[in-house]
Formats: sequence, C-alpha cells, structure tokens
Amino acid sequence: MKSTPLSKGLFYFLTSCIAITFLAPLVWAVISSVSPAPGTSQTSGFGFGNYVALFEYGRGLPVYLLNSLVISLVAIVVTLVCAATGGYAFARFRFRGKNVLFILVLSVMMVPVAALLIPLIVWMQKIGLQNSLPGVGLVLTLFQLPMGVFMMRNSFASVPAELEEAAKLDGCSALSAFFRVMLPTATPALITVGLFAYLAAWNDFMVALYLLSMDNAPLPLALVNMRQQVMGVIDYGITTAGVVVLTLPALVLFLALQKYYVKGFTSGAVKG
Amino acid sequence: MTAPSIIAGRTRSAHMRREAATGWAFATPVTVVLALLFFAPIVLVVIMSGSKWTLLGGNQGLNGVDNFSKVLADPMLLDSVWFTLKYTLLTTVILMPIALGLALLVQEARRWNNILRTAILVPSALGIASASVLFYALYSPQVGPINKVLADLGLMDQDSSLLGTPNGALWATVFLVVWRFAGFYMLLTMVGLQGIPQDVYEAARIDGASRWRTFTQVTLPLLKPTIAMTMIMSITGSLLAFDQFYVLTKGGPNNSTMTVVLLIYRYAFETKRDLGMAAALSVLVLLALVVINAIQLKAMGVSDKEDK
Repeated sequence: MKSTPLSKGLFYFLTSCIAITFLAPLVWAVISSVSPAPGTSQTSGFGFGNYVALFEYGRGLPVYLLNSLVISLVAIVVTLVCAATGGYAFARFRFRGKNVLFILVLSVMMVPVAALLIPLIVWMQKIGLQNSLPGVGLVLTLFQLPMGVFMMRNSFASVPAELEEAAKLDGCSALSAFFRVMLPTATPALITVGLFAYLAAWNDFMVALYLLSMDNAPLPLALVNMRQQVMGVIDYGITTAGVVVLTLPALVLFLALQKYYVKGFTSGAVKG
Repeated sequence: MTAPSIIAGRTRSAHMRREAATGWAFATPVTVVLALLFFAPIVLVVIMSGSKWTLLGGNQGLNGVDNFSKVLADPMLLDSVWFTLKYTLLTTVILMPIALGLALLVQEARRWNNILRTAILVPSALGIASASVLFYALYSPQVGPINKVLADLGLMDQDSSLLGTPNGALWATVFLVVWRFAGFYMLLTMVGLQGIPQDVYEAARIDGASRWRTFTQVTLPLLKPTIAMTMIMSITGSLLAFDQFYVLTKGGPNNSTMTVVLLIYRYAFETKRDLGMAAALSVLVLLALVVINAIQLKAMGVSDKEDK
C-alpha cells in the first residue's frame, strides 16, 4: 500500500506523532512526580519526595490502596460467580422464566448507574451496607452483569454437549460437571470478564463518592479529595504521584491481558 | 396410552422438572444481585421521587409531584440539559471520525501497528476520574505544560487558567475525553472492520474502484451497524457525564459546565440537600435515557437480529 519511501516516511512520522500524543500525558505524570517543583515535597533535585508524602497523606496510602483492593476483589469474585453460574443456566438449561430473566439481566445496560445512586444511599443503609467497601463492590458488580453473563453464556454454549454428557455418564452431578468440565474450558472468557470487572472497580470514583465516607475512601476518591484539600495552593507533586500509583497496577494488568480485553470486544459482548 | 409410554412420559416430565430446578439453582446468584441491587433501588427511586425526603431529615412522607415541579421549575435544569446536549454533540462528532480514522490506520496486522494500537489503548486503563486528575495537573497554570504552549501561541494568558472560562473548560474536557476514549472506540470500530469479508474488497478492486470510492461505497455502508453501536455508546456515555466535570470544573465557572448528572449530585449534597428532588431528577434521567436508547436503536436501523 505505502509504496514510495516518501509516503512510507510520512506514515511513520504521522503514526509516531499519534502514539506520542496518547502516551505523553502519562509520561509527563511520571517525570513530573519525581521532578523538583516549588510547593511540593520535592523542592530540589530529582527524587521520590512526593511518593513519601503520598505514603503518609491522610490515613496513609496503604489504607487507600487496601480499600481499592477490597472493592476490586469483591467486584471480581462476585461478578465471576454470577456470570459463570448465570451464563451456564442460560446456555444449558430449560426453565420457566429463563428468557424473561435473561432480558432483565441485559436491561441493566439501559439503566445508568447515576440514576440508581440516590436510592442506593438509602437502600444500602437499610440492608446494613452503609459506608461499606464490599457494598460498593456489589454495586459495581451489578453493572458488570450484562456483559459478563452474555459472554459466559456464549462461551458455555460453544462447548460441545458431548463433553458434559460424558461427564454425567461418569457419574458427575450437574455441579461437578460445571466445575470439572465447563469452567476449565471457559477460562479465557472468565479472564476477560474478570479483567473488565477489575478495571471498572479499581477505577471507580462515582459509586464510592456517593456511598463511602472519606475515611473509608478508595484511592481514586482520596486522589480527587487530595487535590481539593488546600484550596488555592494545590500540591501537584503528590497529585501526579497519586495518579502514577493508581495507574500502574491497572496498566500492568491491562497490558499483560490486552488479548483478553480485545476478546471482550470481538465476542460482541460489549454493547451500549 | 400403553403402560411403558406413561412411564416414559413420567420420567421425561420428572427429568424436565429436575432440569428446571437445576437451571434455577444456577441462575440464583444473578437473580439475587438483580433483586437486591437493581429492582429494589428502581422501586425506591420512584417512591423517593414522590416523597419529601431530605438528606438529613430522611423520609417525611409522600408529597405527590412536588419534587418534579420543583425540579422542572429550577432554571438550572434547562441550562444543564442544554450544556449536556452541547457536550454530547461535540464529543461524539469529534470522537467518532477519530476512532474510525485510527481503526483504518492500524487495522492491518503488522508489528508497528500492534505497537501503535497498544499506545492508543493505554489511556483505556485509566479511570475517567484519575484521567481527569491527571489533566487537571496538565492544565494548571503553575505546573502544566499546556498553559505555557497556549500562552506562547498567544491564545491565552500565562497566568489565567484554561478551566477559568466556559469555553476553555468545555474544550479542555472534550480533549480529555477524546484522549481517554479514542482507543476504546477504535477497538470497537476495528472489530466491525474485520467483520467485512475480504472478497467484497476484492470485487471492488476488480471493478477498478479507487480507494476513496471503495471506502465510501463499500466500507462505510457495511460498517453501518458498528458505527450505529459506537455512536449510541458515545451519546449515552456523554449524556451521563459526571466524573470529568466533577473533577475538572465542578460545574463551573458560573455553572457553565453543569451536566444533568452533576445536578443530581448537587441537589442531593450541595445546594438543596434534598434526596426527593435528586430522586425526581434521577427518574427523569432514567426515562429520558430509555426513550433515547429506543429511538436511537430504531433510527439507526439496528434490529434485534443484528443485536444478537
């Protein structure tokens, strides 16, 4: 397609510019977090002063990280359990109300999280989950269900029925056939669903803002709050360091599992 | 009926009953989550929208359509609806061609393209809130490089903030959102492109169609379902914008970047501290979104068939 050296050179120049545009803000954050700047904890020479300050900020970085981790783990585990069992039910069993239930699962997509947060403030209190990290994880789970169940259903449906029959003839119950035969064959789909749940939960800000108090904040919430703490004088050093710490785990997992992320799109499960 | 067939019928119905029971058992977790965190809040938001329900005072009984009339009488509502629509239009009009262009650029499987694709996808690993915090620093007059560049170009004052003017704040947010979501929509578009069979292109080449003609006559029409889907996602997502404005502008300056979802938050926690009003606006947003989604699906010709 690109035949002449000139057009080839132009192509590489242009595409390099594009790549740089997308990477530059993050690269800037990394550099700026270790650079000296007035009004930060790193006033002269390069170093990790901002990271030390971040470590001790507020209730301490470990607390915020742990909070984020709890929310993410709850969201991942509950999403995987619901999507796997639900997907299996929709793929393999005939039962009354199945189609209605499936449409109801998909209808979660039509309802924005923003419209449910006001009642959830009241409701979470009623069911004993006020200011609760697992509670936030559960709310985030709900919005992973349409894609998760849809993906797992398709994944299970493509497993040949003979595999399961064979397991049942060997005396496996439905439950052990599910664990021993179905789940292992659906591992790639499980990774995709888990990755989407993790990214949504680790990066969530809005649900935590509505449902958690500041002393129970996950990192994104703490980060936004950090910026507003001292009006007028904002410590940009600690802010950029916070962005780096928050982004790093998500980015590493994202790059390592990029194949599975892309799979979430090709399977047709990501829909508006 | 003969005896054996009755027994066979019985065992079959017993078998079906067992299958239904097992099916329901497997569907239980998803049903519980739906009932507890989906249906209950939806019922509650409707009740709350019809009740006097303050942040500190709690439920003080039904009050009819009071909340709705208060919300509809608020001059801020129309402003926020107008701004949300403007923001949605801008974002979608800018994001869609960029996503399509990028997808066409990187769709061929080559090493360099893989690197390029990964670079464009990197922002997708960030949350909108943390991306907004990052851009808040980038836009700052004190440490951010963008202010300096714009000042050197004579486009603005070095010491004033980009986020300080209504237009600056809007474009700064649009830029952030395009940066964050270009890769996501590029990926969706690429999947659509890969679904177009190669022999269609082959036929176009044999007919001697130019590259541009092939694009407008072959690629675009066949990509219609994908474009429809990405547009719906972009429109719906933008209509519900919250994080980016909460972090970057807080709806300011002078409430010029107030989105509808930000207004819900304001009603609940800042200006009115009235959960009833916030619930009423939530219900309106919910209804509007269901209607908008239905219209979009119809208008863009995405039938149920294509949806599955």
